[in-house]
Amino acid sequence: MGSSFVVTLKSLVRAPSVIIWVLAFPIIMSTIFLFMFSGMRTDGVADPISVALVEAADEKDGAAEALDFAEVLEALSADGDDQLLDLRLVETSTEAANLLAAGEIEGYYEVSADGAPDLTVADTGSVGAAVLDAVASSYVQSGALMAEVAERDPATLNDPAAVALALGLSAGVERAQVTHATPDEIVRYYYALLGMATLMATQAGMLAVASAQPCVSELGARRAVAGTPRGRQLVGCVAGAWVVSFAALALAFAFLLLVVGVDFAGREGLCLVGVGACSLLATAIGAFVGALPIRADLSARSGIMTGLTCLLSLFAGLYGTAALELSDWLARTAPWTAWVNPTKLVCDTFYSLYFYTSLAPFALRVAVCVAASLVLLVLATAVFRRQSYEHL
Amino acid sequence: MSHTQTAPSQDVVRVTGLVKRYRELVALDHLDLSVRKGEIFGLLGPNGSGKTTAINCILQLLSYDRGTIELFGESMAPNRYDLKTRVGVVPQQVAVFDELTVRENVDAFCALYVRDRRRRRQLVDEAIDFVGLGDYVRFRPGKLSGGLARRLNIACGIAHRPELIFFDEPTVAVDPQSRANILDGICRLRDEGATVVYTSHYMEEVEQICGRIMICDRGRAVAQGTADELKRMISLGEKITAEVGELPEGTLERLRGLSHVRSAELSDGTLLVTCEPSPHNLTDVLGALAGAGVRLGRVMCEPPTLNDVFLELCGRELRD
Repeated sequence: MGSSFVVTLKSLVRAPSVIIWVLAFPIIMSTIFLFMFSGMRTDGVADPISVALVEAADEKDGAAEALDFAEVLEALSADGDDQLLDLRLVETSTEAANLLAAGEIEGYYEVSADGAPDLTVADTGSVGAAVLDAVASSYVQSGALMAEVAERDPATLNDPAAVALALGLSAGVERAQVTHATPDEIVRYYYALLGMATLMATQAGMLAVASAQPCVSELGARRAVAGTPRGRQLVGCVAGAWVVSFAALALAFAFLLLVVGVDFAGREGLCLVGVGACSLLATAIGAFVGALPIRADLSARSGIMTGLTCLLSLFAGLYGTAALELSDWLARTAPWTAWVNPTKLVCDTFYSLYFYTSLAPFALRVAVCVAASLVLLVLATAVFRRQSYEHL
Repeated sequence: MSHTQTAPSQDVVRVTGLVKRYRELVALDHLDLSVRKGEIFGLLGPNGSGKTTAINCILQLLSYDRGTIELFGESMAPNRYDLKTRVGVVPQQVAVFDELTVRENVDAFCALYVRDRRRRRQLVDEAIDFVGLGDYVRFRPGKLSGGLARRLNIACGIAHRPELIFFDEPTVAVDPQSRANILDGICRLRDEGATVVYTSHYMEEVEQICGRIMICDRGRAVAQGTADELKRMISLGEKITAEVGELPEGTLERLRGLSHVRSAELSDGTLLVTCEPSPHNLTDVLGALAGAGVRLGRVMCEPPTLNDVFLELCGRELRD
């Protein structure tokens, strides 16, 4: 068993297909992602929302309130990293409507006679419209609150701290952190890449087991007639493949963490536990395919694994926005697929660490990985021991 | 070679009534076979005759329908690892780890039989010396020539010092020097006490190194014995070749009429006469030619070869 382990280890780390697909592939893909997403991250800084305010004539009703609202908007349009709005003052609503029609602004405010800002937007479903609506609503709510305070306890208005507290977000609002880390869409791609790398790592298990199969190669036949029981040889092969898979995935994880700078939400130790479980799953899948009683040599089996990896990675959302939408659609319409697609399972294992404060979802997925691995290894062992020989 | 006790019959391999079917095809049809301790046993047969199937059944790589297989006097079974440990296999194709060096390969296979690392190191060194690969221990198989790769293949099969070794056509596609080297090595293994089962299509090789030979065809043992015994089993006694130029009319008919002559043909001035076994074939033929006034050039008289035996017993039709 020990010698089979060492032989498997040496063979795999020197096998070109393992070096390329298991060790190098995740790092190459991560590097490609790094360059792709670094551009996206730079462009992704939110631009100020262009908005117009129709200035009220002095003699018009609500002119004083419009002035107050204009001050609020100007404060939100001040230059800086947190600039929210790009404010333009116009004299008439017709002028504002023209700007809106020309696409130069996303909406415009007009203060009505009762002092409430009315918002007109081109696309009610856009993020900009939502922000502009929130600004107007907040202004109205704050005004109402101050009016109520002035009526009930005018003395409070002399206390700037109380006023600030009343107008601040913390007043009557409890901030809840629903995710463990601030979600970053790009992180999902890297986790999907880890899922794909896991499936690529199945090559190690497949090669290790198939090369000990008497019906696959002369080498397998020769090993099958040896004095070491085949069960022991299988254990050595699987253990060796697991070590190689773990090393490859740990290397990919380290590269993502240290070089690419992917956020693992400060749970790197637990991520390594996840890598251990996922590499076991990869080895078990590979061992199962390697043991399958089909008339396919190593190259054909390797091709099967590569094809399967590419297909399953599609459903994990690896290949871009469309794939991510497909993955999300599958998660909504057929949630069970996330448990049977190993790429998605691996992706979700890491994402559950990143997304959830509780460790239960992570533990559940690790348990599923280990359980699935055990089932596959038992099946692989049963099939492996029944394989006979075809040609010497 | 290290040896343990064998059954009193001294048969290292005993196969009785072995039947192996692939659906309708009978690959082995009640095959009987016995290999004695310390001999090189040749297994001959055309393609598809069942010799490789027989070896696979003996090694428990294939299941079989009927019959018994004993190795070293004990019943062989797939889980008889104690018996498998005493057996070595050198397959026809080079079956080694492409990613390991020569030394690592020999050690990897030896480790499947010998667990003690120190003992293994010694055995690996000896096996590498035996096949003369000392200068190539750090080479990977892909860097070796065909002959060297064959030698590595052999080293991997014999490193654990098996008492019984199966060689399945080990000299296919190797140059004459490597072939001679391999055959010498097999004889040395026999001299050191190993029992060898050797299959080949090269008759002269088999005749050269094998003590006893079995010819099998269509899953059955057609003949078995020493090379001389096999030659005596066929109707061909000897072949007489003579340079005669022209033959007077009626000479060929007179030759064909001689009592032990099977055939007489003239081609390009060379007369070929095949005879049944008889002590006076040559003098009878030469006498007939002299009587016809034929002037002779060179004359050769050859006993039958193993190839003649093979072709007479298995026929001349092409096989798959």
